[in-house]
Amino acid sequence: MLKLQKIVIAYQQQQVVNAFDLELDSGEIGCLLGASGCGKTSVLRAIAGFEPVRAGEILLHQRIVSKVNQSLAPEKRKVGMVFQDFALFPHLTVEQNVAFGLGTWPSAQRKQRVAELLGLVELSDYAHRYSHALSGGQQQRVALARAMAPKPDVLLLDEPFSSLDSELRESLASQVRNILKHENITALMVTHDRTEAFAMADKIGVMSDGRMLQWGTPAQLYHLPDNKLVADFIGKCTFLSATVTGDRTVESALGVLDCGYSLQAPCNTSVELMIRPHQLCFTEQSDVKAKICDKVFRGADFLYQLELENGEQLFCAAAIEEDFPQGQWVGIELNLNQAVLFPAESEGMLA
Amino acid sequence: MSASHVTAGPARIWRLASLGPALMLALPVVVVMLSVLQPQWQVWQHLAQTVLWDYISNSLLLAFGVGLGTLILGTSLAWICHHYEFPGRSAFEWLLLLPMAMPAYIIAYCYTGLLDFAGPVQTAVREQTGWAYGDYYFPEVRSLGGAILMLTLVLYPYVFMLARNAFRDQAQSLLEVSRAAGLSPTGYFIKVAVPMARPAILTGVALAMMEAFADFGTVEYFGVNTFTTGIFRTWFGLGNAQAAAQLSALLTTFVLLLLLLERGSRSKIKYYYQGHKHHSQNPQRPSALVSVVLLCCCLLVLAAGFLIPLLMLINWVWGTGLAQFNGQFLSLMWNSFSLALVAAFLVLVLALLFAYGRRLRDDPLIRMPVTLASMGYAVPGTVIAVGVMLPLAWFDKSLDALMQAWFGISTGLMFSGTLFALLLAYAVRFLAVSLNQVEAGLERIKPSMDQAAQSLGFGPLKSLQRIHLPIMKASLLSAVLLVFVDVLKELPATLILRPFNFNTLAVRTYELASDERLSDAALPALSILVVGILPVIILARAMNRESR
Repeated sequence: MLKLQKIVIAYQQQQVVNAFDLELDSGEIGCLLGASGCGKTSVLRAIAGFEPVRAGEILLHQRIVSKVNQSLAPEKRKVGMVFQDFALFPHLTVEQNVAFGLGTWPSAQRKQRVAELLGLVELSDYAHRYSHALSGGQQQRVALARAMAPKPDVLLLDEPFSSLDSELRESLASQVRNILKHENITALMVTHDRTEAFAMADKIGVMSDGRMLQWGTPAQLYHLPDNKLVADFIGKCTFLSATVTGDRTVESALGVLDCGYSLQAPCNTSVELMIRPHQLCFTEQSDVKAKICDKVFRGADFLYQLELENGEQLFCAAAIEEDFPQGQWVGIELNLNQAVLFPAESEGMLA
Repeated sequence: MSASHVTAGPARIWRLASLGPALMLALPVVVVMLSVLQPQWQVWQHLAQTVLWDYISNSLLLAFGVGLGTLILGTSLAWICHHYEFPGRSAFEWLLLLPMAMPAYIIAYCYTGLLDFAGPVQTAVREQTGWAYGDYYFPEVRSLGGAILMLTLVLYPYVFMLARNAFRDQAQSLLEVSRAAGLSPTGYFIKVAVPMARPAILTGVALAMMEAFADFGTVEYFGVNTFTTGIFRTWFGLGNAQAAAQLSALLTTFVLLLLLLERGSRSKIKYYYQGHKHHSQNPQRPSALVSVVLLCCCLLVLAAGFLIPLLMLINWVWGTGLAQFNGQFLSLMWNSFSLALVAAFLVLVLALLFAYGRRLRDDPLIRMPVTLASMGYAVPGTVIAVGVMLPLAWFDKSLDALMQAWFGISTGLMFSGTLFALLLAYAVRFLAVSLNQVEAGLERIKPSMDQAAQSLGFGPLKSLQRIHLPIMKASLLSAVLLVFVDVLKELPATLILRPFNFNTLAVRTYELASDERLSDAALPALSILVVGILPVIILARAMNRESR
């Protein structure tokens, strides 16, 4: 459906996107996740046709729409776009905004489509209002309906929730996901907020410095990150230094751990073990002791900052029933299904 | 960065469409500046021995006199309206802009009629005292000093407006901090308010000085020899177009220096106020006596710059009765209004072409001539007329010769003798006015709007039509209106370039006044004045909107 092959985007001499690949199947919702300035919006703009590619190709429906020195005009691509600032036309009503891209449709069908979409985004009662009389969330839904109206091949969403209240964001994100799924639309969103990405996407790509670090399902990224950058970006975690002691075992300050798969690394190799806060738990029986350095109440749980005897620090999420004071030494235990190891002092993945 | 190659197709067409007009608009100023390459030594020698020093000294004295006058008048009125709460203050904020509607040559005619020997003031003096001619001293209006006064009275609103905005941008906390540090209100005015408003004030002064350099009607009527009258006379008296162009080049050099000052100051206005939200200063309530004095000051300036000349005109029109309101006058109105309207729309189309083209793709090939052409507002109308006339006359002559030689037909003065020349001159002189409005209108439309329209299947031209033009309706209207009125008031270029037997309100006013038929000149003058109030209202409303 949508395919990006080794595309390069540059402004003047500065490359912002480098040898970037991406593939989305029909009906799939993808998400590019990354810090601001990582090039994710440039990718989106290149797909829409607002940015030229310096190398590589962009294909829509097996048709090349962008390659070096050649680019199909944005208005001819059948790509819908939802903008960060919504970009609703202030001189048109909600209905006229949604109908804007349907200029060539026969009038009866146009009316039907507009009514259908306004129903879908639950704004039928607001058809004759102007955008300035709508709330942020309503404007967002008008922008979505407008972009979806001409049944684009791909829908692009540029930080679609960033100008909304944080409370509104999550509920709207899942609502938008349902609407997209209902219409079976292929969509690509960019955001810097991983909860938005989790709420919306089938597949997530983590970007840094104009490169794709990893592309996969949310669970894959969370549990099996390819490198430390992805691991860190996708959720809170700490890295504990460890040493390979056998074919399947490593030893760290938390003891010897069976990784569950063959490491294919010689003994005594230094590695780092990824630990997410929920993979640690407190047990009095454990021989491994840690000191409580700090704790933050998070509503459903406490996030503890722990220090091991050798000085290494860890995070642990624990139920609020387990309330320990600062400075206390407690026993901890590691509880994970599959160990994620990275070579020490590097960012690639081992094994 | 804009999507350079994506819109390459439409942008290329846009570029081709822009290049011709852009070069054409840049041509007059370039021609004038290049004329110095063929120096007319004989004429210069003659001029140097006779009137050249007059031209230079009078023009400089006029410009600096007006600069000083508008500086004092504009800044102090702005401060009064900013700092003090007195009866009628909010009305004066826009009433004091009204003199802008008064073309300088018209106020000059009014005061001449009022103050010369046969005028009502001197007549009254003689009747009261029994003196006769020569028995008493009375200041001569028709002098350099008179010209400075006239121009100051109608040009101070430039400074007033900019200074008023600058003062308003100063926070209440700034005043409080200064007072706490021991400054009196006057001390604050001198040590804080004015230095902070300096870029804005200087911008206004530079604009007023440009207008003073550009003035033709007033100095010509007062018999003061300046560059503009000199250029006119060198061309039509001595018949030396090249020398006229060289005088123009010299004048343009002075004006460009002012332009640099203006541009430099303008860029600092933004730098001085990095628009953070704040409370603007609360006006002070002075004692009753001071209130009355302030009210009288404002009223005096308003009367001198607007009410008295207006009453004078009405009085004249009343005196001549409706006899003047005949077919000839109606055709004069028709000429003026239709010409101004055509010019306003032409300039609007050009401004849209350049501004929207730049939005599609910022192209240095177009930007350079457009920047040059949009300096036209600084260049005196007389100079532009010379710059338009020279190349068009040359072109007409060449074309005529060519057609004679090849086909035996004479094309005559196809461009230089028709409205084409006039419209080109207006376009050069007033492009910046229109361009400012159009650019401000476009700036308010976020680039994501363009992209949204594009992603919904609309090309650049269709988005312009469906998105940009409807959204920026108000800016387009004021662009048309401002140029319309400017063209209506414009005198020297119209006088030089109008086709044979084609007359406008401004030119007719000038002709009648030059024939000492001031009361007959009053009706066309009053018509110009009444229409000229429209843009003042726009400005006043824009100022109000900013304050809210």
